[in-house]
Amino acid sequence: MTEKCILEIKGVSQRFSRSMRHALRYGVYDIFHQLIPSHGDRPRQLRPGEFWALRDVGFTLKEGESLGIMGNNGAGKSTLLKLIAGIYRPTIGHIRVRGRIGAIVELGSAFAPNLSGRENIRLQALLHGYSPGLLNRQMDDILAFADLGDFIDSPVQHYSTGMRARLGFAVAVHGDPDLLLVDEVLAVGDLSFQNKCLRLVENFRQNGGAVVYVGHNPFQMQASCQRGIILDKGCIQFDGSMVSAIDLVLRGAELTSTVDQTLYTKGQLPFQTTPDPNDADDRPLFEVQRTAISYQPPSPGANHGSATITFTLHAHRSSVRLNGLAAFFSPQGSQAIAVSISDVVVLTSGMQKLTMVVPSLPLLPGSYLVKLCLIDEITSFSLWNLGWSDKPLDFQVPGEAGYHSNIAKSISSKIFFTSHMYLTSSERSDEPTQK
Amino acid sequence: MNNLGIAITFRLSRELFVRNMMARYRNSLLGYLWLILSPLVLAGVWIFLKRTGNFQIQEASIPYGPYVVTGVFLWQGFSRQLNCSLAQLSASRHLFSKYQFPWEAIVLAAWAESFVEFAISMCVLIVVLRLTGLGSLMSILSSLPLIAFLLLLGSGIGLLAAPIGLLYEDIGQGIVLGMQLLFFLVPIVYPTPTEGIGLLVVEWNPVAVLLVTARETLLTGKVSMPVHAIMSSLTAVVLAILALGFLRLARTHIAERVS
Repeated sequence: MTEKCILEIKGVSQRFSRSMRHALRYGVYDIFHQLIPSHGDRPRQLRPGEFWALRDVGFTLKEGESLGIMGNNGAGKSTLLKLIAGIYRPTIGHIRVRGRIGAIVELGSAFAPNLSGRENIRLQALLHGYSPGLLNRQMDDILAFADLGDFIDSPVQHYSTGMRARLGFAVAVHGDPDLLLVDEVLAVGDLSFQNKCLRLVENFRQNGGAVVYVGHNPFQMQASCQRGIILDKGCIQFDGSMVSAIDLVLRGAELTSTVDQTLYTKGQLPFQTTPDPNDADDRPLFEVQRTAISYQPPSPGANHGSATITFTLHAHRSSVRLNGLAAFFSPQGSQAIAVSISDVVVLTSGMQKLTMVVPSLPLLPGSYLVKLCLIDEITSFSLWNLGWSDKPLDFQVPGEAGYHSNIAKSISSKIFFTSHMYLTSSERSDEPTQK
Repeated sequence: MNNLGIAITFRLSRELFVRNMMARYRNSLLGYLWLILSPLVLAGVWIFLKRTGNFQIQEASIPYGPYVVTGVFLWQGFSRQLNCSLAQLSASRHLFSKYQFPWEAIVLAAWAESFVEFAISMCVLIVVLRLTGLGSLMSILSSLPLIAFLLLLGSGIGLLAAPIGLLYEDIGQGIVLGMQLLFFLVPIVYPTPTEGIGLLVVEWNPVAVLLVTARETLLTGKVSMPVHAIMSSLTAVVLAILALGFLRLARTHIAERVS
């Protein structure tokens, strides 16, 4: 048996005006144009002051499917939801919904503050298109879900935001819909209420209902939807699995974030040494001529890959005792997400190669920036550094997007500290190449 | 709209009506007394002007006091009915972009609310008229259909202007100005002209026809312009139906712009 198609959207475009003056004028024009169709209007073209809020959007949704719509602010998500709900009429294209729609756009926005919760349930239910019979049948379930106790007979003006949300959601989902539209409404209410709502929606989906979510919260979207659509400036940029959609959104957020200018400025390293210009002997202890970084995938049985950083340097003195430091930054450079400091290595005079290994690097797949530093063991002064006053090294951790990595990626405040790093020195006989 | 849609519309309008009536005059000390005070003061001003001799009009068969008071009460009912659609739709505009629901429910609730207010004020007026020996049970009952069509005419005109009025505030301002002008074009405070351009203005103005005939029937039991009254009643019905259709058509265009 083939699954019934609940929602069908074909070539839908919606134009809006930027200015209120244009919006009102076109509003009057459109009303009369619909009343007396003329050949003057060309819906496929924009009129002065207009833009496409949605452009040629099309997809279908079958029963039992849940679709998440993501995108930046102003991408057209809420407009699309309102078009599906029948609140707006598409400028071009058509939308067909087979069955009843339950739209949860803004919870409790129509509550009459002076009426009790019970009286408001009746009002809300009718706004959601409940037939009088359905309301009588569902009243007990709504009251049980809202779980407001004695407050149900108090005026709604004494309710907290969470209580209003509970009441609003309870009414919206018990209207026996075939298609449920949920617009970023689960941000209100406590965690147990959010879980309760998500369980109810999931139950609804498993019983053959179709769900369209609009939201920004990757946790909820990933937990609730199998399929994801990304809208960008009114167009469908991606239509596929939700896991891939969230990975794309998170990667997009990384790329579009402003690069932290302090990456390329001096003074960010707290332990910078200052050479004494009066001391003739105060020349650098060593010169680093080349650096390189590479990633090694996890060995069998290991969880994380490793990174190897090599320094090719010429030491002017012997017995210089150093610690190596590698700091891994997010692409925006705003936060160090892993810092490794090595054990001591002792330099010998002449050319040599230092190899610094970060054996376990618990980093998610993606692009990173790496800053390096060689520190004097006794004073902790920076004897040489890379990335604080010049461009850091680029570093790639390859890998596929996944359910867990999406969740982890959206938490950006974690700093991993890896204490075990090996720094080894090997003397070189060949002539160094220029950096 | 199917049967279920109609059932939901009426049920929703009933809920909205109850909500509005409960909220109405909640913060008012005199409450429903305002319904009578307002037309009484307006009528009182005209009676005072006539008594002082600043305002000369011919004495008709009906005493001037009851004549002008009844006229002003009917005018207030018509006026309130005309303004209520736009006022209630405007007050409910926050719902337009969040729910797909029959906007007719808001309009019907507004009409019902204005009608109840009018009915309360008319009940008081009729009691006063009976105490002064004017109007009989028969004349009161005969005037009811004409009063109903007068109110329906107000509702239709108001609703026809409401969709554009939701977009442009100029419509609301224009209605206020138009009503001030119309007050003097309808024989409310002066007798109905019997000839010339004055009569023409009354005969071709359905508001004037219905108000004049309704008042005449209520106070004397006679109808002087039966054909005009029937034509005006039909106009009221057609306008109200057209206005409801126009609102349905304009709904999505307004929702995109007013929320």
